[in-house]
Amino acid sequence: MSPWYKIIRLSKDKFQAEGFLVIFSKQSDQCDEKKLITLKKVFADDNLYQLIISGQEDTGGLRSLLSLPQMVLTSYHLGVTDNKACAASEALSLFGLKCMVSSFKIFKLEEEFNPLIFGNPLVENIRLISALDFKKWMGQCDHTFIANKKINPQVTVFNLDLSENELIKLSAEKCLALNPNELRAICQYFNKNEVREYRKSQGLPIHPTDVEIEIIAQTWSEHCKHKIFNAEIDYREDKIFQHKKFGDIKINGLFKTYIKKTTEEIIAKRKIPWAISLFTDNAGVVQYEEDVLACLKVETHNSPSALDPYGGALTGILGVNRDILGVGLGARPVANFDVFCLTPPHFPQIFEEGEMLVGVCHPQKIIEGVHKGVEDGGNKSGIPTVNGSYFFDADYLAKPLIFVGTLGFMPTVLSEGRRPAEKNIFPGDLIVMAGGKVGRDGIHGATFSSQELDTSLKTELSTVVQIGDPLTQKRLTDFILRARDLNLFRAITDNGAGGLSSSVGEMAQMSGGANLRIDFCPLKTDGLKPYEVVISESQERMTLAIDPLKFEELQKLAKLCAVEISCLGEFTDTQYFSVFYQDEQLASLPLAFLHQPPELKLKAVFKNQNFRSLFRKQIKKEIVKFENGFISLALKTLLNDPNIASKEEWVRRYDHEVGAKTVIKPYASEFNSPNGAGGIKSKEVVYLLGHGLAPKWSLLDPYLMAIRSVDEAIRNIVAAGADPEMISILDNFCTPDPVSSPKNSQGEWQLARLVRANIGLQEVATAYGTPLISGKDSMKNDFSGKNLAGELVKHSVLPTLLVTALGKTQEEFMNKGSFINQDDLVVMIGPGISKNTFVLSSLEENMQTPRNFESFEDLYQIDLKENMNCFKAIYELHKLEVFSSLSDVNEDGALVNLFELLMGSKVGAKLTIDKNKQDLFKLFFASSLATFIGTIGAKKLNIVQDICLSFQIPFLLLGQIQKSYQLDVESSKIAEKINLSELENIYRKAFTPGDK
Amino acid sequence: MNATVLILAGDGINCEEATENAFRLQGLQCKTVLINQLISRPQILDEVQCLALPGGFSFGDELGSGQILALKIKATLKDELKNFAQKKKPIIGICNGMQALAKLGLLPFPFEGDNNLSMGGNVQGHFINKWCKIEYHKNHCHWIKWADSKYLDLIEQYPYLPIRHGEGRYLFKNQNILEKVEDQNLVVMRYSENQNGSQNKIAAITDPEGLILGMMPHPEAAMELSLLPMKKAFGPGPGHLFFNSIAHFLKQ
Repeated sequence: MSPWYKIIRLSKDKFQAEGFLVIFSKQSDQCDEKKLITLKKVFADDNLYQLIISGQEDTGGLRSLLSLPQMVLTSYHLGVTDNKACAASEALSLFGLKCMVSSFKIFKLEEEFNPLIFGNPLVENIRLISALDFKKWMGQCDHTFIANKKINPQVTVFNLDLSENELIKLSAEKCLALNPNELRAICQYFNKNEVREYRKSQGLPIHPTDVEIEIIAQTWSEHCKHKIFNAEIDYREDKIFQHKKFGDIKINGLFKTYIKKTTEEIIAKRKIPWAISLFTDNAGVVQYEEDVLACLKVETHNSPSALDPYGGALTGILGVNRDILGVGLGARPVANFDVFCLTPPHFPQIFEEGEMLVGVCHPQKIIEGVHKGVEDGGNKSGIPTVNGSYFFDADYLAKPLIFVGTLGFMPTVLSEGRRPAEKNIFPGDLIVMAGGKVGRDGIHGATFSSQELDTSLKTELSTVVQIGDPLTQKRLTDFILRARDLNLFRAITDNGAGGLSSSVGEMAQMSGGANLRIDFCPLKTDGLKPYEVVISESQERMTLAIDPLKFEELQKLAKLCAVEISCLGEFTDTQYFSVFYQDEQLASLPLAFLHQPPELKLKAVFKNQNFRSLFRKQIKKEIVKFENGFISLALKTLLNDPNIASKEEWVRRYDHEVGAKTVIKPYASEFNSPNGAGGIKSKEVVYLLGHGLAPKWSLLDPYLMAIRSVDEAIRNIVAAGADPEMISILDNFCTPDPVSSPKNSQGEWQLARLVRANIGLQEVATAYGTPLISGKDSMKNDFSGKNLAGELVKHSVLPTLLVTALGKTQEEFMNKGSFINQDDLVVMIGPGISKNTFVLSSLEENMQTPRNFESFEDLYQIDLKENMNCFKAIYELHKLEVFSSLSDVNEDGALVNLFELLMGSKVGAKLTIDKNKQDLFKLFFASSLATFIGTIGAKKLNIVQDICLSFQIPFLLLGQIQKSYQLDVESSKIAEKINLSELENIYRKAFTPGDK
Repeated sequence: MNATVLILAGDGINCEEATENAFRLQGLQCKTVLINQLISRPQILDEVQCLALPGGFSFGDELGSGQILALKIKATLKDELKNFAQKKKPIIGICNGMQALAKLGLLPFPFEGDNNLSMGGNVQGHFINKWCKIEYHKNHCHWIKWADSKYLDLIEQYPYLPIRHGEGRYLFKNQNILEKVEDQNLVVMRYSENQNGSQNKIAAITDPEGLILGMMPHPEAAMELSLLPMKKAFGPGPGHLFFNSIAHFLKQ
């Protein structure tokens, strides 16, 4: 047996213990003493740890561990990415020691044993161990490693001679997510005579091999082909529905009609020259300055994050980084942003414990996990996290929505005059995979996420869950960008959903075919079947098309960058995508068939909405009484809401300025107030990133949600100084299943909601003249299964549209924080001064407000033209540098937004307002569109009024700044003095993370 | 001929570009190379006059920050690096680079044992990105000694730099070493308020010769006032000090 050691590092200052099992391979011929010296070199730091090495004399560490009556041991399951172990193995190899390493952790047991506190059983082995057993365990080499890493060449034939019902059942069992129509199309294809002839000539069975059926399933998955967004839809409105009617509509694809066509019309009408590449590549590409192309992409990683929040968010962020790395000929990721839609952290207070869903992580674990995932994903690969938000709503219990986005930069011209947005592949070019190895992790990710979350599918769960490896990804980034600049590849794309089947299958369209040869595919596990190799979504991989003459140079570069690359066949012009193993053909599918899934035909019926879904139980809320003391009470209540309370403690764990380009940071000003938008400086301009989210409005009408989301994203960056005539937006839809089926009786209604959101998106994008440059959709955000009480339940998320806005401004007049002077004036600008709604404001979520003063019709009183004028007015004012602070007014209300500005400069304000009580409260706490609150120098008042007048925009002088940190409000009926220190205390303490 | 600075990259280092930019702003030539490139051709060290270990997450900080990077350098470039330092060529380590310098035993007393200084985890137990008020000690360190007076004025007016680390707590082997560091005036920067539990609020130290500077804050991210979150101002930022000073030193 090979020599092995268990090594534990026990922190000296607090109880923290991590360990490693190191097994030396036979080739390591050093004597044991030499090995021990190396082990100490690698693992010891006497200032920080006590080192325990199995079989060696104890220097006190082991004794102190054994003094614990019980410990909890956690280690990763076989095949799960273990970054610590990989690093340790690499470190030992520096000294000529070849070994296999696994890592483990030891925890103190402070209360009753609950494995979920210590880790995630899906990825980790978590067990309780007594001191006695621990001593024994230290003497055992108990971890098995994957010694052989070979393909199991077994290929089975997928028998199509079954009844339709049997096929449907089989599709579900194998996690193929193929619908009856698609199964029929597959049968039809394989039954064709010419196909049978062809297959015979190729030595393939008549029926598809498992490799083929899996390639089809991945390629046709909702995740990859967005069938719902391309479906033909019959939309109609139920007679009961009274408001904002669009009548019957026949829609030839939501994407084509509302996204692509809208954008093309906007570009044509406005003669926009800066939209460079839209809809065809991994990300949208725009040009806001002479030498730089900006690429933007936002993804969701909902299903993986529900099961393993840390791994889900980490692989999400690394995945969207690779989208940017794979756009055109490769862009450098320069900024990340993330938006989490989650169940409130104080979950058990709103629900009964029994309502928790079996197999879905606890909300607290989800927040901690996704937060840590984004932290590691960004920090460890050197990409700043510049913007984001947390949005809490009970309906995200079904699935957390984890939006992750990345901005990338690419030069306008590459070496040898190549245009970076162009990709070409020629027959004979090599298929080269770069980066990570292929394992069983991530199999069926694309099809899994194209279905509702069913946590009873244990075997699938463990394979779809993955942990990312930021180090491999960073090395891959170093490699790709260098290879790009040396002109070493012709085309590139990332390996995301569907793995090689998708990346090679898609690239094959550029040359007209591909022969994928999996013989030399690097593996990290043993016994993978060919179909698993082809569809595995193992992380940190890119696929390249290489001129064979450049392969050697590419290999040299890869070695310097410590990146593994392998040649996996060649691109062809046969019009077929074929897969080979040891020269045997395992799959051969024509590209025309593979990339033309049968179109869906769907029905959509809109009806009056349930204002509150199942989970939105009436929470006891205080009733609003418009009287003295109310403003203070309302502010205290609002600032204590986790949706509003400070996230600074969380966000400061993200590196938000690596790269030294973040000029607008998440928190700025002398006393740290939050910024709505993030700003990244490039050569000549500052890129602004903002986002809008109004999912609660989908309860009323998703049409309104879309308008409000776009407005928020845009006013976010306009507040920061954006030129409203140079804004690009991205749409990310996350909806409940909109396809009607016996299992989904709500499908037609859900689809109608999606249609209305698209109509809203079209209207607002057209009115604001902002092209939709990229987008993504995730359509199965439902849960079906048991809750802890044992009841079968089905839950769906709020239909959610995240809008991301990318704009530009100039450093000289950008708004990077609150810099208020003591004699400044407080002003409000925009239609919201009179047009605003209490409905769905944050105050209404927290307190009961009288509804009688707002009709349903009021909610549709939106003048998009006026809004756009307001954006233009604000931009003019920015250029005149009138603002010492400015924020857009969001659903939290103008007063909360003002509070944040005052906090940044630690000053107070005295507001004197001549309005009746009801209007006063609406002014302070209602939500509105295209409206801003801020401070200006006293001398600038005239000019601000003049500009507002010339743009015909409402303006209101609210009062003036005062030195004392206090907010005074005076009107004819109300007089309040509110201590801002007290408010700040609430705001900063309401939602803080634990120190973990 | 202008002096050339060698800037290390690869294996998870991620501040090489910003660091290169900081040196270039002082008119210095820069050569950014992957660690593996340097290992395959260590003579590069003879061709340059200054070495920078930028910030980042080398090897994912998996066995402790800077640990594997230091091991890799020790295993492959030990003699060359020693030679470099003995030729009195200046070295700077920023953040992860500082952590590696400590693990390499280059700070505080070069080649006098590896374990005099460790960078412990922040007392808060996690990563922090924050701008801190800094107190400078104008000692013999060549990375601040030769700076133009305008940059000295700048750090008076804007005594801020950002920290971005999870393990930035200076922890010396024992009280003796700490006292020796203080007695020899090796502390270059302290936090005005302790940010991470660092002994004596230390943020940066140099060696007795003043050639090696190891600092946890990121000067390369403070090269322009527009990057300072707490002020609305434009022009060169407080980060210039170090790069300007060493540029003068290298021209001597």
